[in-house]
Amino acid sequence: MQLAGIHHLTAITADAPGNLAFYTQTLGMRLVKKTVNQDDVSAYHLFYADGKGSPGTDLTFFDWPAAPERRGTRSIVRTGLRVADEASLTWWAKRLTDHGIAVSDIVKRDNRSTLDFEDPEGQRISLVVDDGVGEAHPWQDSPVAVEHQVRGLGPIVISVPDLEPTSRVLTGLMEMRQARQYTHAEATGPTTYVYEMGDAGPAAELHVRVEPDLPRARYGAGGVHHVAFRTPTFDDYEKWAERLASSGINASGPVDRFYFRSLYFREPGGILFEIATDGPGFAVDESADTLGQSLALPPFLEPQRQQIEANLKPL
Amino acid sequence: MHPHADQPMLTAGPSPENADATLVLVHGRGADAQSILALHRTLDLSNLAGLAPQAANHTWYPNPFLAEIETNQPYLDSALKRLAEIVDDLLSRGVPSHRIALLGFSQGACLTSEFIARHPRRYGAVMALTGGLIGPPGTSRDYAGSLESTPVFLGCNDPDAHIPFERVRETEAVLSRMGAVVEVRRYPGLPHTVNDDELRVCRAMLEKVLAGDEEATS
Repeated sequence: MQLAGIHHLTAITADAPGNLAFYTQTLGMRLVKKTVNQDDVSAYHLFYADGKGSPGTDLTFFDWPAAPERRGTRSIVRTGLRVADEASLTWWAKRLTDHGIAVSDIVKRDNRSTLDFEDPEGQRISLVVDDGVGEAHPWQDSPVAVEHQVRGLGPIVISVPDLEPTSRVLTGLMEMRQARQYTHAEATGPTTYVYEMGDAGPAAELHVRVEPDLPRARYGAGGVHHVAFRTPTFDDYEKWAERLASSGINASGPVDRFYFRSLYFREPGGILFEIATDGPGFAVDESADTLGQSLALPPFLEPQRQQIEANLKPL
Repeated sequence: MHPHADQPMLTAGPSPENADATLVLVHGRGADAQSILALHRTLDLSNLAGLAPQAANHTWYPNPFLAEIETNQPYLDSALKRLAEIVDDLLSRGVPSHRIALLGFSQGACLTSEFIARHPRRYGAVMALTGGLIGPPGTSRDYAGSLESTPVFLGCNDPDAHIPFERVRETEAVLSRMGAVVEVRRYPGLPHTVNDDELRVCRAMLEKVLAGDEEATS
């Protein structure tokens, strides 16, 4: 039973309007769903994705009035966004610089050309070349030309203090494969271990950096809340639910998020993982053309719409 | 008379001084600190201190929460005082009130909601699971002070053998009037326990407290 890759990644913003502007206007991603955190309806949950809202492309945000993240280990430390080729990286380096965003040099990391930057609240992002492998569903109304658009998520880099317990869960429970390792910066930098899922490749990799000397991170703006992995079928989802239930790990049990179904658990390094189904998808309550234009609520929250909207700042 | 004064306090996780936030867990009638402290582990949040005070003889007050308040004295006043002492102690140890969260179940939820109404300030989060303000129907609710946008979650099954849902709605109205941001979830047909949806809501609220807002007034 194989996970197919990264499903989505959820981060934290304390500035929803600024976040919306950056991800749609600067990065050119599509807001495919504007909803609320189903467990905390006082917060927006914004989903940015490709033109279709395909699984594996959503970068999502909880809107919390939080202080900036305190960086450290036991956290997700870098979010990969895939672009097609090195020419796109060069183009992005100029675009981001023109928009006042500091960028790194284009470097080879784990043998892939990569450009690092931080979003306006400090979330660490890498644009990573994926050589155009797999499908792409560009957003026709994006300010970014089709050939340079973000194609999807991955790889995602997590930091843990100790490899072994995390590795046991990744390989033993989640059936990922440890493929290789690299050092982050100089030869003295921390070692990062690459775990592959499904057909592998940058859309289906989790990179585990081992940093025992770092303090524990604290959630906050510019930080990441959790990463979700794809399980394509509801049958497999049921099997994952059973496997987690019998694993001895403290897992959430099945949760219907309306746009997908989820299972949550915390891996031993302290990072919140989710396994999520590809379907039903974001077009289940809106037409594909108008995704994200109005506040969408799952049916169980619809009766509270008036109260929920009253608590949200217009966006 | 303060019958709850010398009861044990159980703890979990880091000490409040070393944690990003502190959760005070208030058990229900017939239960104990150990049982509610298990929720701290179930919530599975890093760097959250857990404090669970124990009621004398496993109950915070002897009669139903809808009974005349005098019939629950001096235990009710003692129980409210115990929570006030815990919060004051945290404040004196340098934990700002917006990093203090309270979670009560059943009788503990009643006590918790009554406590914040009588001691309003900006708490990090307040979660009253299956409970509401204390006193018989028609009790005047002229509490003074402001909850300053404290997020409050009231989760309750309905019908419940002990808690009429109207009291949850009344609690929502009173705490909202006092400046809290209240979310109510009604769970038709569920038993008198903490359910998974409530746990997820509590976890989401506490994650936000852990992330904190350095600007918040304390």
